[in-house]
Amino acid sequence: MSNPLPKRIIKETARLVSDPVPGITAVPNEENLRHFQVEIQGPSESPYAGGLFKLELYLPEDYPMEPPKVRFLTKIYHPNIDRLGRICLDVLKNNWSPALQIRTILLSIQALLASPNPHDPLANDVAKEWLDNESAALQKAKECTEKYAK
Amino acid sequence: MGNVPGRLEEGSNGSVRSRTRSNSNLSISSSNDTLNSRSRRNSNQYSAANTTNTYSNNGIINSNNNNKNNTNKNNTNNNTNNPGTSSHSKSLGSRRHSHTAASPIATTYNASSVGRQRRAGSLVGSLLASTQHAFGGGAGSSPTTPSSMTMTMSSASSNGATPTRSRASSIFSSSAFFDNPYRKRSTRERQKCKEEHYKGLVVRYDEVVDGGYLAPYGVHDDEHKLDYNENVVKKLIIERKLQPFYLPLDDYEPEWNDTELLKWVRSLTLHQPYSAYVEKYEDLPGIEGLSVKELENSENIEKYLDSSLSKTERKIQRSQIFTARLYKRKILWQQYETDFFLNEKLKIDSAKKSKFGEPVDGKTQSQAQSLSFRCESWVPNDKLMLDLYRNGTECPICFLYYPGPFNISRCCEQPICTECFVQIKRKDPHIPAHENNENNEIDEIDEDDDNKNNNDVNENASTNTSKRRDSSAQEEETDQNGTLISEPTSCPYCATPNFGVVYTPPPFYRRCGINSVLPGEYKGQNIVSAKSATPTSAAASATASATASAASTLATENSAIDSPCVSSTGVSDVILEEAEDGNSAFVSQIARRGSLPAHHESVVTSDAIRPDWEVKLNKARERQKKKYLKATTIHLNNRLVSATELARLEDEMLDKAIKMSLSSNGNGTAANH
Repeated sequence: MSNPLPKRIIKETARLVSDPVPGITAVPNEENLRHFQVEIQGPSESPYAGGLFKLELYLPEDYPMEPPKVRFLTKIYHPNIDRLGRICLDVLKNNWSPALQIRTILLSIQALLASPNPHDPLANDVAKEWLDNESAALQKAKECTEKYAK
Repeated sequence: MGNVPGRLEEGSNGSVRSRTRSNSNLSISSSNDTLNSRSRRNSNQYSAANTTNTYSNNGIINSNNNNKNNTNKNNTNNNTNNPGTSSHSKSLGSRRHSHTAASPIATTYNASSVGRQRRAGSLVGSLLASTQHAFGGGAGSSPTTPSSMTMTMSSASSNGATPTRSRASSIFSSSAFFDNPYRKRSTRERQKCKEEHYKGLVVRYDEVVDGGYLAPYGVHDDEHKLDYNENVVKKLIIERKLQPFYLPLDDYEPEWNDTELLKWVRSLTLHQPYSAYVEKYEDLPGIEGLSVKELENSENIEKYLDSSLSKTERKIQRSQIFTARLYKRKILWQQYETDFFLNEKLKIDSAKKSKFGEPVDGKTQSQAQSLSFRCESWVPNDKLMLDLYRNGTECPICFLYYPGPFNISRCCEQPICTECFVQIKRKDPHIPAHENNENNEIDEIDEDDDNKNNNDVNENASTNTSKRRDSSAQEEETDQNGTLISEPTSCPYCATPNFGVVYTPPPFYRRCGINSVLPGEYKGQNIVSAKSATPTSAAASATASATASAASTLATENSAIDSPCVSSTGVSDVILEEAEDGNSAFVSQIARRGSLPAHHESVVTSDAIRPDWEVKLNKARERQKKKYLKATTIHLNNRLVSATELARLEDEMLDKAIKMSLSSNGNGTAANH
């Protein structure tokens, strides 16, 4: 690591530990403090309820001017998350603002689990299923959660 | 007003967004206007003088007034020195010159225009000094009335000289602005520009405004995002339209006592330490082990190039070496400033020690005082440090603690430090995203038809309002999908487009540095009482009243009065009080303001500090057009190659057609029969 860690990252990490978000944990890697192991609990009243989803989060060199890179490691059945775990979420792309934080981004992702948006899909097949037969899709999501996120 | 980042609620792809419609609230107090116009007048002087520029430091009086119209380019670099220059400050000055000088030719250039010139000003009573500055060369600059007065005062006052500074600088040299921005520049010109830009980003210890600096500390040290126009930003800071770059504290605890706080503040350097090792510059030839002079000479890059490489590869290597050298030089430039800053600090510390070591009677105290004055310090004193850092906040973006007042977003009134503000810029020109609804929303909200962007870039476009520009961009977008666009930045807190900030300068007693008292002589709020406590000599009081009257005449002439830190006489106290009254009224008015439109005169937008965005966009469009043309040509050529094939097909079709018509003819005749 050529540059010292910016104060903001140090402070954010410390605050995540001292004041954790309910249902979300984020722990930095010891070798690379820009790299976080994240666990998000599936929101209740969603097909992901009861599941614990693992993600990885990386803070690029120009964070917070550039958004963090986040990816699901746990397989998930969701129209806005593809098979590689990539997430289609505006605040991770164009609508990123430096006033957002790791904490808020993870909350947004949790909210995405609670309200999938099949009209702007990343996983086309899942979105199609979601639109054609929602109950079946929800059932599939539940099964996936049972299988992979427990 | 949704002023808190309202993005948490948004579930999926950002449907819910608390966008604020900024009302054009133009009710800003008149005192604000006068203040602004005052500072604008100052700035006009800067620009009117084209290349020469004055920072009148201790002074109230900007004596440029008489020379205001002197825009003759030939003599702009002349900077006549005050006859009363003390040898000490002279030596300081020459020291600076030797630093900035790159080559013999550059030396003369620097001496007159880039380098700093320090002159002895005058010290009247304890505080008052006024800078006089004259530019205008051979014609001779006849000192204005007040300046001649201060000159006599400087000879009268014997207790030491304060450096005031005039910097004939290249900062506001505006010749570049009138250059055609679309002209293709040579590599050397571009390198020169880059070099100048980096020079402008060096934090100079003597470029102080209210205890902050004119260049960034380096919180976000990303070259690509520090590409703002440093001259514009410096000017805005001097005009007190933008928070200066304060040195940030990592943490701040309110329970720290003064000694503890000072300990932390004193340990600050001018710039975040650079990492000496940069991976991408490793293994490049022609960098390590070179002297400063060799590094500066880009001619000698040639001999370090790898001759086995192809022409284009060599070109790439050449620019890499240049960039790596520039990085190294940047470190050296900053190092120089930092060293100087630290030295000054040490000097002050030793002065203080000697002060405390001696018994405190009247005589030694004044000696110690004059000693500390002779430190001629641009280093903020303890009082200033405490005043600054006791009233700070944490920037919500970089999480660092800065002294207030902060820049406030024009839309939702959230604080942002300048360090973070200059980072927020338009995205590089890009092909529009598939969803258009967002743009429409922008148009709806964008209430401003600002002509502010006086980019005389595109003659036809220059009259366009930004709204029209936006909408025209949209039309193009719908017409021919694929035209590059560049959307204005939006507020990081509430996502209102066309991000801009408003800065309310600190009250007058809190001001120092450029256009005010030296940071080392900062007295703070109890300025008057402090002065009445100091013994004043007869000469000092006489001269003080003289200057005060001079100041009042100037005031009636409506000339630039920037600092209320005048003398202990009645007249100037009145000015001081008036100014402070006006200021507090101004502050309270500002505090009650709602959101402001982007074109409001006190708003500094992201586009304002990167005025070249439109040029960049147009250039990118040109490039894209060329690319498309090339692609079309290639495509057409491909079609031409297969022309023989086409001819064969044509023949075949003709054959078939003839056959068909024959058979149908046959049928027809058969039917007829």
